[in-house]
Amino acid sequence: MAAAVGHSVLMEGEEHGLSVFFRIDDDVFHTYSTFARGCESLTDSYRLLDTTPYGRQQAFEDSPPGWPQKPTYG
Amino acid sequence: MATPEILHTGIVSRDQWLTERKKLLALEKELTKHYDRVNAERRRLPMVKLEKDYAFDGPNGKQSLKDLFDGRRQLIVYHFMFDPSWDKGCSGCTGFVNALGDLSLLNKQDTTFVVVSRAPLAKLDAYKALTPRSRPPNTTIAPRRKWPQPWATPSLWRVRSTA
Repeated sequence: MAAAVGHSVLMEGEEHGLSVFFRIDDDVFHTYSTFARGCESLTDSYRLLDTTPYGRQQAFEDSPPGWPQKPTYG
Repeated sequence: MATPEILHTGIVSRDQWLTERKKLLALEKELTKHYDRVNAERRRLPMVKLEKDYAFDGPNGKQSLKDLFDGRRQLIVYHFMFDPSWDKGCSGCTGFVNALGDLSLLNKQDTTFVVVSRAPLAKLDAYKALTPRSRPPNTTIAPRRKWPQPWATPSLWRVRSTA
């Protein structure tokens, strides 16, 4: 649900994200940032559920009619 | 009361299943190779030098972004949604953080992982005390400077000590 509508609207300006930095001596460099589904690498659970018939059971998934589904990330 | 119908896919013979499974395997291999290609491109992304200082509050006091590296070469920062006006952190972020496993492999690869939030350290600590599987945090942040991302500045909530 949040993904469909937009995190920034529902979450009052907060949005989760992953950023990566690299250091050379005292200098720090920004190399990468990702948001929303880009952060799924934080957990193995979704990939594990992806191996099951019912999958993640979230509404965004293309599953057969009637499959158990809850709001995305709900 | 009747047992609710259990929805399932078609039931076939082992041979039929194997045929279908092999079709899927071809797609999975395609995906794996594509994943490798995308990662190869990511490793070649250029980088931008940060000119501002960022400060984070943590159990060990104020730390700079450079301090968060803990002497390592690479730093991964997870921005945990916790608006300063909230009493609890985002439930989705909490699920992600609680599901984190042993991150020592990252450290062995010269990489440190930290979690930051915008809420004050006291709120983060109180929230962590509430959530059963919370990680021992060490940090938070403080500063009023702009974070380089859309998500403003941070309190730093370091999830896993790199010790």
